[in-house]
Amino acid sequence: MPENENLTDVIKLISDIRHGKVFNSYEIALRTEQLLEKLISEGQWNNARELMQQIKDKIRQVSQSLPLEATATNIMRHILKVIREEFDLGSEKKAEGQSLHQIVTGDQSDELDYSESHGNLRNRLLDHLTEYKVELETSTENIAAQALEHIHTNEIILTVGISNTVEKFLKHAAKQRKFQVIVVEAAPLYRGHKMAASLANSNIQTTVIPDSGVFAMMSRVNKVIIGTHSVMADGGLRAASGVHAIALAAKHYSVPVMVLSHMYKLTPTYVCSHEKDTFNMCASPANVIPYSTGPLLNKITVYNPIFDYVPPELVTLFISHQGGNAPSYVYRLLSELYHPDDYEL
Amino acid sequence: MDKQEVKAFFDKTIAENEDLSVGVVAIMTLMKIIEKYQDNTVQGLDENLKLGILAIKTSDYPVTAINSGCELFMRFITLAKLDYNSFEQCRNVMLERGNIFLNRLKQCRAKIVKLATKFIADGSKVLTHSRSRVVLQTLIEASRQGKQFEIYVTKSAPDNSGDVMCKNLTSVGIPCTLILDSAIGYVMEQVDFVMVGAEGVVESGGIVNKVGSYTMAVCAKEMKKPFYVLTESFKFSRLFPLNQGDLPPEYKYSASARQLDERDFKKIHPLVDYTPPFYITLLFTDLGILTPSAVSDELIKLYL
Amino acid sequence: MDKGKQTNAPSKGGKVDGDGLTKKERRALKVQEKNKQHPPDNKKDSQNAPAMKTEPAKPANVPPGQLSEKELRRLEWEKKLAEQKPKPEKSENDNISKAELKARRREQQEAQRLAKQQQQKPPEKAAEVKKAAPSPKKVEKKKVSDSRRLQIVSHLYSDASFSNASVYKNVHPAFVRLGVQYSTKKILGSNARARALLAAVKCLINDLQTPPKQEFCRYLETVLQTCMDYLQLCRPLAVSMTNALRHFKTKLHQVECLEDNVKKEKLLEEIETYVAEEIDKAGEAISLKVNEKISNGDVILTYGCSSLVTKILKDAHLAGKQFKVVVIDGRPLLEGRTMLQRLVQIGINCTYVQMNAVSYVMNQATKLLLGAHALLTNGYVMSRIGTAQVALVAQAFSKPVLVCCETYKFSEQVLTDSFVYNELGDPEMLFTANTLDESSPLVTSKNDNLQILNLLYDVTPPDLITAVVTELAILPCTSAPVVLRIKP
Repeated sequence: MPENENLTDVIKLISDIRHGKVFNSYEIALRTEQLLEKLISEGQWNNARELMQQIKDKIRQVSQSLPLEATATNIMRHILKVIREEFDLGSEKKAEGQSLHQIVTGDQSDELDYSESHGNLRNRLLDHLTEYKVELETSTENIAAQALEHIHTNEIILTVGISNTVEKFLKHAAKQRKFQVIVVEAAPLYRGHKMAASLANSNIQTTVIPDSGVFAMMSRVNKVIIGTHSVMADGGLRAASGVHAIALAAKHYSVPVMVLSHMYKLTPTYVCSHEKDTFNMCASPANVIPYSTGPLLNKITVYNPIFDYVPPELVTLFISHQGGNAPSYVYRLLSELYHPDDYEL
Repeated sequence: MDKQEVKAFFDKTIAENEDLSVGVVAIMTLMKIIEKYQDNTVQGLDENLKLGILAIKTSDYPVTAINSGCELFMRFITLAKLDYNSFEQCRNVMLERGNIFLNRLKQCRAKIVKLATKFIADGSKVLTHSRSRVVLQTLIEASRQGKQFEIYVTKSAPDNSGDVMCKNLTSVGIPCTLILDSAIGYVMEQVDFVMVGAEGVVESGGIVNKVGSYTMAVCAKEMKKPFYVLTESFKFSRLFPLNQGDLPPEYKYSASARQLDERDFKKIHPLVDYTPPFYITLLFTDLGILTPSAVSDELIKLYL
Repeated sequence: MDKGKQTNAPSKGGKVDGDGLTKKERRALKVQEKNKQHPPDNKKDSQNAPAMKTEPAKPANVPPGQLSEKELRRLEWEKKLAEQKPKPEKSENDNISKAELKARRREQQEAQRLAKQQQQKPPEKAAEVKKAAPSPKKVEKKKVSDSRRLQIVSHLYSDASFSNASVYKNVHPAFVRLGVQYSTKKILGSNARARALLAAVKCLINDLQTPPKQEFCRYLETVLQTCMDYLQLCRPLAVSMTNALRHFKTKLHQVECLEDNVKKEKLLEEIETYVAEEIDKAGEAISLKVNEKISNGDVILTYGCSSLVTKILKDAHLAGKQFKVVVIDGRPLLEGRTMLQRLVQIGINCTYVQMNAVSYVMNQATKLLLGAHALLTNGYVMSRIGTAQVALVAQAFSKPVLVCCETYKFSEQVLTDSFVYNELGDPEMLFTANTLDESSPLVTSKNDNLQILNLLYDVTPPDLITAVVTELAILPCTSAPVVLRIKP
């Protein structure tokens, strides 16, 4: 059945993510893009509506299986918007807007059909997708290229754990400026060690500190530069566990917090304060306290949360490949990336 | 229609439709004016409408919603002055558009309720201020979805509209506690979030609402509780108050109070206050969930 | 009398008694009095491990009667060294009579308990092994090469190593042992360190024989000073230790007028009173006060390990209150695990998280209970590193933060940041984590650009703290100078 065929590749992607074969958000983005390319070029669809329906099915599948994995669904949502735009360009009808002018001058029809078939819709979409792919591939470099605008000489920069984007960012700046980096080791996986070793190899003066030393060090830090898992619709972050405490310390000492994020990390969901349970997930407690501790483990509860919510007032700047933005502007970026009808699927 | 007729119609419609916002009723009144207009000039119609608005504002109802609703409608009407040959055609088009607009407004609340009920979780404690129809509908809908929660309502002097709100809630079976306006600080540490309506949303992203909302917002910010505002989009206005004193007197004091003493307002208690956007976490509107900084953007789009 | 009693431990293991005196040395004392010399036995001091590295001083052939007992002891050590096999690992076989053993044991209880409760190490009897067993490399302070020092804390790096014999030439063995225990972090926690110090001082007083023509108090002071200098080298003194010592010195001046044979008893009594009042009774008073603040259904957060907080929670639990405890742990010392074990033994419902999960658990918490290393005059609290971070998150979630601190830990110091006065731990402790399967890339990296900073303490500003609980009262943080003023 065509339906199942459509979903097999998505299911494969989900399974790869679950088993850790694909865990870097960049790789997930590339895989999703390939998936969509295949769908658009070879898939069975006659008009925009059918295509959109298929993509919506995929989004539903992914968000049900991996509710916290936003990259894939965001890219698919973005493509939905692209499809709508391309359709509008091709047809004479305009989609209904909320503005007064449009109410007055627009047509009576409430829903745009999308069921008209366009000859070159497929080609136009494929063109657009190729552009998007190039954008994806170069986005890390574009972000890194902005490094010199944000780092001056003799700065002390704090970063947490490991992030590909941040690493490239700092290394790019290090080619021309001299500065120091403090890396927080980020329990419980201590990925900060790897980051520090890699930075030190690029001739950057690096210091490793444990998570507990952040408040003590923060008074001497000039900037905090971090990556994130995803950006929520209110401008807050879903970042690695421990980042909230670091952002609070930065706020206390008025240190700017800069978040490097790609566009596909922007998620159109809001977090309400009660959703802590669905917002976060926990990993194996063996990373926090080893099984060798013995029978003590029977009597205690151990938590190992993966994510942290960082509210928007603690973030100073978002840096994406298009430049820097304040957290209060995230709503605008969202409206450019996704169509409001696609926020909830 | 003359002044008395307008006012009478306005008062009557308000009395009949408890559920409708004052702004919507004002627009209905303006529609009636268009219907009953006898002459054949657009200019005359315009003037009549303006007189009508003034007449409505002389009633003692809060002016904020009336102002924004009417302004939106007026813009709407002036836009509809397209090249139609006869005035009759023009008027018909206006009426048609007006009806669409009105229908849309009536659906506003349903959209807001859908967005806001998601933020009410089982076991939450919500604080609200005075009486707001949108908040009431949201809470009723959440309760209908089977969620269990508790409400604290402020009594809200001088008209004690909090009493009405409390009664409405308890009649639907939602546990509700009436608190004194002065007990806001005391209660704040126990609640999970604050949800209020708004009489008007201003350009800065702040709101104008029943007096006491500002205090509640400041308290919520201090105790780190989210402050949510539920409001329809037609309440957006182009005003930008810099502080409490910068709000126009017609907003703050009722028409009858203003007539008593034009110059010295010190002795009169204001009806509304202005809450700056810094204290607001999110606004729930029929245009979607907005951060206060997005309001200006939406306003521009709306008034385009 | 010759052979030591226990040691099921391997040959390297040995029993160390409370005052660190070998049987040899005690006998030497008696000899001194009777003007006789005893043959040396096969006993070593744990201190010998580093001592081995040094050249033993030449045993002098001096008639015994003219030596001070300190000199005699030194000679005997050196003789032992000369007879020893040159093996770094030393074992210690102490022969002590049971009665003396008991007395020493009681005083060392606090110190030993910590070593006992580390599950990963062999059981209690072998605990002593650890002291002697570690290779000299560990006992000696790690010298960090110049290029890998951080500029900002370069004043905290210490260059002294105590492999130099002259350093502990005149140090009482109890102190020598104490020094090793401190530097290898066998004794952790300011209360434990203060208690251990006072126990060692008591030993010193007991053993001290004033040489003729010298006054007891003066002599004791000089000897004590030497011992303290040595301890400072091993590990910088804790504020509790400094305060206790200062109190002792005041008392020392006060007993000057008494007769000689009464002096010692008086001093011993003073020390015991000090411990009983300032540490034990104060702990009970604080526990009572905090007990009132704990209500049923509370979720109490605590950070690291504090003997006082353990006591408070234990008392509250015994009083029948129902509450849960969340223990937050920080690297590299991971003291939270010790705390966890203690609390679980008491029977309290516990949760354990690492520092990164603080924001996650803070939501459900009702209050935060912290111990302190010292309370400074400007209202800042000096405590284990990470405390300030936890207090900050608690304040962000509007949870009350209570710091429990006995008044004897109040200090005249004034600090505003964590760099000017701090202690550096061993950077290599950050390399390993027993929860990771693979080794850290830091181990293999020889890059000079890569440094590791392992601070031990940090300083929490008073606006992050709701209240400080002392045995006098529950105070706001800013009232620290008031307490210092009214304390005698």
